[in-house]
Order: sequence, then structure tokens, then C-alpha cells
Amino acid sequence: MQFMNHMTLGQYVPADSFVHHLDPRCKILGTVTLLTGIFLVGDLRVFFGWALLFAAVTTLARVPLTMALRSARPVVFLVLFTALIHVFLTKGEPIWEWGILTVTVEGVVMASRMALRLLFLVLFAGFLTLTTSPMELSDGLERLFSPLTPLGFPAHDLAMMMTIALRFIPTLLDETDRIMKAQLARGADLDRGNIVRRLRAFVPVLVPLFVIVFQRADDLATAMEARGYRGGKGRSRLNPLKWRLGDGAALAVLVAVVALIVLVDRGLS
Amino acid sequence: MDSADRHNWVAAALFAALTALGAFIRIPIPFVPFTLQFFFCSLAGFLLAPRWAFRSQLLYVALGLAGLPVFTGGGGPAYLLQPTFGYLIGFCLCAPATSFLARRWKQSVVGAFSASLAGLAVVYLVGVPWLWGVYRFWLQDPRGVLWAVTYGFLACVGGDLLLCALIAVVSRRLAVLLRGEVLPS
Amino acid sequence: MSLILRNVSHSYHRGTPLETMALRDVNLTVEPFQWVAVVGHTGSGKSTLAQHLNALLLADEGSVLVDGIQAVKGSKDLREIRRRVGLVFQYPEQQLFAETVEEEMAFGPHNWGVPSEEIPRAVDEALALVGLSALPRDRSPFSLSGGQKRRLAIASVLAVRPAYLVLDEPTAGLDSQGRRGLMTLIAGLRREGIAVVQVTHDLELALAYCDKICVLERGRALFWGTPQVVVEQLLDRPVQGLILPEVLAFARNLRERGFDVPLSWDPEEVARAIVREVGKCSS
Repeated sequence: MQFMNHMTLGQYVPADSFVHHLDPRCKILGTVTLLTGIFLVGDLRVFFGWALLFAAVTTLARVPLTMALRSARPVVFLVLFTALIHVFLTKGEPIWEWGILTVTVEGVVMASRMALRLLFLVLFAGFLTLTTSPMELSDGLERLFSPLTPLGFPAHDLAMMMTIALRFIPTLLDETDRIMKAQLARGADLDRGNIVRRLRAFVPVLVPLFVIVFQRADDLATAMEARGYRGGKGRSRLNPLKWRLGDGAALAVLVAVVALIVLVDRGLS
Repeated sequence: MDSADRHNWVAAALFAALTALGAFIRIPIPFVPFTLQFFFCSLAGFLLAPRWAFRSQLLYVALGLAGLPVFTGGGGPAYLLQPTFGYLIGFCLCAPATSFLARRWKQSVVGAFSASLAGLAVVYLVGVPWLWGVYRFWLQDPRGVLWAVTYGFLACVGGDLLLCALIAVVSRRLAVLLRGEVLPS
Repeated sequence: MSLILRNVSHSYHRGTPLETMALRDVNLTVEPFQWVAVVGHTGSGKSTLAQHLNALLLADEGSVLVDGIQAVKGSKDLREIRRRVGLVFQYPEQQLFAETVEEEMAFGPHNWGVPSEEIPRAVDEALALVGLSALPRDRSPFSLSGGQKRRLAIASVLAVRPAYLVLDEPTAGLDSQGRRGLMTLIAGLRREGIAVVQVTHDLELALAYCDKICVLERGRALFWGTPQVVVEQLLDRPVQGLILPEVLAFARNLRERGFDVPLSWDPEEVARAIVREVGKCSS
């Protein structure tokens, strides 16, 4: 059955490391600090600092470097393409010519800066999801955003519903598979005929799927009510997020390092 | 959270799961097999009230940003940087827009088709300028408006138009079920 | 003309670290007019086996022959196999999608190119087989009761007149009355010449109704034979996940204590024997 790709857990790689055990809020705030720092830096030599930092945190997280670098895969094409455009189209002092194509010093500098900036943004952002499971991220974001709730941003509800959605994706995948097989057994042709026929052939798969979704939604909501769920107000947690000394220390060190790199950059330019 | 809210939240969560599921169901047609994310996003508009349709797609985008590979190009917070992120914002706006229009137009297949088309328009009206803007301002690599329209709209709209037809058909059938109050809603 | 599985093996996720063998070297034969049960615990491979019977899944090793047609990947005959072997999944009412009973019933025949003039008759015959003849053809399938929905789903598979019908846990979610009704329905199908394969975890049900039983454990077909034969083998060697009917266990215990009670799962038969034995004791 070639219709269904199989889902992996995304980028999260579980491991027993200092980074993995950090409070997700610390990691989120740390990542935001890093991303801000990357935007503020322009001197090419300073990017070496980011590379060192990346290697350091990857080692701390006990994640193989190749795996950490793989999170940049979706943007590789984008990075190369952008770099090429900048290399050839930026005006300035030429260092190499071939027909109508001119490579300038400014072009090379610009291309490198854009490419490296993009690369590190993606790598550090990817590092977050590499070391933090979607559940943890959801918890962390919920705690961070909960002060906004009185202002109309339902942090807890969003986090809770993200959890539910996450939990139901494999279930719905199975249901879809089952319905597809049932209709195939009744002779449905899901991979033959022209486009219109194939799309129409999916109606007997999609309609039952929605019926099932509505029934499940009803059952689930009733079950939640039966167990006393009334939203986030006054709700306690089984494993509350505990901000420990290690989290504060790690974040402080990271902010200091980032500030240092930015200062060096300012000094060099 | 009262009973109605609970039902709506759970429905929004499940529709978010469906849109995520849409990334895994590939319709095999020659040239460009496409996924069903837009299909489920639009149907969220047909089957949920505007506020909840919006929340369902917001949840979907949140799930992808949290690391789940439910976007066309994977997932993760880095996706915020992708030039195609605008389309995801478009999804979030398409669902409530479709919901708003579907209430008025879904009496016929043509009406349903129009509502889904309008939703599709929203996706592209947000996605294409975003695509252009990211290249122009952030990557400092200005490409013409024509390029953005060709690459970001004309190249992909074909499959989506077919999906609109499918959406019209399926939404009509589901509307009959809902009207007969056979479906809990 | 029969359905033959020979040395069928099947594994999921072949070639990946997650590879699991679902079926190992399974042999099975279904003859016309037979009611065969495939019994096993969850995860024993029952559902996988069911899907091999109509070529929805193809065997990695071994062969599947349906009325002489081989189930081979890419073969044009696969569609013919699927027409001859109807497969009803668990909770079949979940596959209903149409706006009317007519449309739902005509789905199968349309897919198999049955001419439009013949479809109404096929629909009538199939609905009669499940006892829904009186159902208005323009009703919405979703407005029916749960039991009616299930019968309709089964009828929609029968509409193409399959020679074999495979049912995966047909009694799931039914109370004892519903179970009896469904078994009566299946008995009726058998009289019409349709061979039935019932996949179930309910050993008691299989013993009560079926001609032949195949017992699966972790993908392997351990026992194959009439209920009596299978029961004797089961008493010798318990199978994971299969609980013997209480009456049978009771009878076995009595026998071990020297009473002449038949190894039966029929309460009446055992009760009569007990009365006889008690009479012998008091005299």
C-alpha cells in the first residue's frame, strides 16, 4: 500500500544527557537567545564561534554530530541557491569573471554571511527539537505563555489540545488504513484511472473517516467530562516542571557566551 | 471550560490531527502527487465554527513547529524560516474564512465549491506575498512578483483546484449527515 | 473449487529493523459449504491471515489459491479473487459512506462492472440474505440502528455474490442476542452455498458453530481439524490467549476424577451425563 508514508517521531532523539534533562523552558529561552544572537552577528570570522558552540552543545547532549547536522537538510537547497544568487549578483570589486558572470568580493562575503546565518539558525532551532520531545515542548511553551491567558491567549487549552492531537495522529492513520482496505475489498480502485476517477474513489474513504472523527470527538469530550476535566484553571500536574539550579546556571552561561560573541563581533566591525 | 467548549476544543484537536494526517496521505497522480493537507484544512472550515476552525489549524501548525514532520518539507521550528511558511499562515486564515462563507453558501455543490475556492484564494493571497517578501527582504534576493506568482501559485494550484472539487463533494455528503443530526456535532 | 493456503508466510516491515513475522508456514483449506474458524489471541496473525484470503495482502512465501487462481503480485486475476472472496472487516458499519442504502449496496457491483440492469436484483438478493429485504432503498445508511448497519455492511459485500465470505470478528461489540442473530445469519449464508471463514478470538463461539477450526499462535497454525479434534489437542497443550469454555474445563475436571462425562462444551450434554453419573452413585 503505497499511499501512506510512515511517521517517525519527528526529530526527537531520546538520550540520557545534561541537555535532555534540562527544563524545556530553559531550552526554549536558550534557543531564542541563540537565534537572536545569530541575527545580530555579521562578521564572518565570528561564525566560527557559533560552530564551536554548536559542537559543544551537541557533545553535551550526547547526540552524534552527523545527526545534529541532519536537521539542516530541509534548507540545504535553499542555502545553496541563495548563496549562488548573492555570489553572482552582488555588485562590487570583481575577483573572477567568466562571460556575463561576475564574482565580487562583496558577493562572496554576502553569500557566506547569508548562508551561514541561515545554516546556524536552522541547526540551533533543530537542536531544540532534537533534545526536547514534542510533549515537553508543549509543556514548556504552556508554562511560558500562561501569563498571557488573562489577556486572551489560552495557553493551557492549546497545549492540552496539542497533546490530544498528537496522540490521535497514529490512531487516525490506522483508521484510514482500515477504511481504505475495507473499500479495496469491495472493489474500489484507488490507484487506477484518470485524476477525476481517482479522487472520486477516495470519497468512500474520506466520508467514513469524518464520521469516525466526530464520534471519537464526542466520546473523548464526554470521557474528559466524566473525569472532571474543566480546563486549566486550578489544575494540578503529575510531573510539574521544576526549574532547578542547573537550568538557571545553564541559561546564564549561554546568555553570557552569546553576549560575548556579539561583543566580539561589534569589536571586529 | 463548559461542555460545549470541551466538545469544540476536542473537535479542533482532532481536525488538527486530520490535517497532520493529510501530510501522510498521498494521492498518486502522474507528475505531481499531492497531499491532502489543504483538503482537511478546508473541511475544518466546513464542519467547525470559524473560531474553532482557526484553532484547529493553529494547533496543526504548532504541532509541526514542535518537531512533528507534518509539513510538506518536514517540521521543526526552523520551518518558520522557510519561504513557504506563509502558506501555513494561509491555512490558519483559510479555515475560518471558509467556515464563514460555508455557512451561507453550502446549500449546493456549486456553493460549496465556491467556498472552498475562496479559502484556497486566502491561502495563496497570504502565501505568495510571504514568499516574495521573504526573498526580497530577508534573504535579500529580490525576485520579481512574476516569479513569485509563477513559482508560488501557478505551479501548485492545479492539484488544489482538483481538491476543491473533492471538498465540495465530500462536504455536501457530510452536510446531509449533519443536518439529519446523525452525526454528533 | 476451494480456497487453499499452502505454507504461507508474511512479515511486516521487511528489511527494516522493525521486521516482524506475522504468519509462519500456515496451511489452510476451505471447501464449499464449510464454516471454518480461525481462532487465536490478539496478535496471533488472524487479521493478517484474513487479508491473505482475498489477496489484499500477498504472501512473502508460500501460495494462495482461490478456485485455482494463484494470488500473485501484479496479476490481473487479483481482482477476480477479490470478487470471489468477500472480506468483512471488524466493525464493518464504519465503512458506510453513501447517501442511500441503494448507493451503498450498488458500490461493490459498480466497482466490478456489473451491468446496471442487473444491480437492483443483486441488491435485493443480498439484502434478503441478511434479513433486510424490507429496508427502504432510499433510506440513509446512517439512520439505521447499529445492528442494521452491520447487516447492511455485510450485505454490501454479498452484493457481488462471492463464493467465500471472510468475517473478521463479526460479533465484536454485540450482546449475546446479537451474537446469536449473527450466527443464524451466517448459517443461512452457508445454506446458500457460500463458504464462511470466521476469524475470532472467541473459542467457544467457534466450537459451537464451525465445521473446522484452525488455531493460530504467534503466526503459526498449531491445530487444524474438527472441533472435537482441536479440543483434544488444546487440552493437551494450552494455547496462549485461548481460554477453554467453562463447561469443557468442568467436564475435563470431572473426567480426571473418574466420572464418565463426555469432553463437551455443550452444557446440556454434560448436564445429562452428570445426572446419569449421580444416578449411578446413589444406586
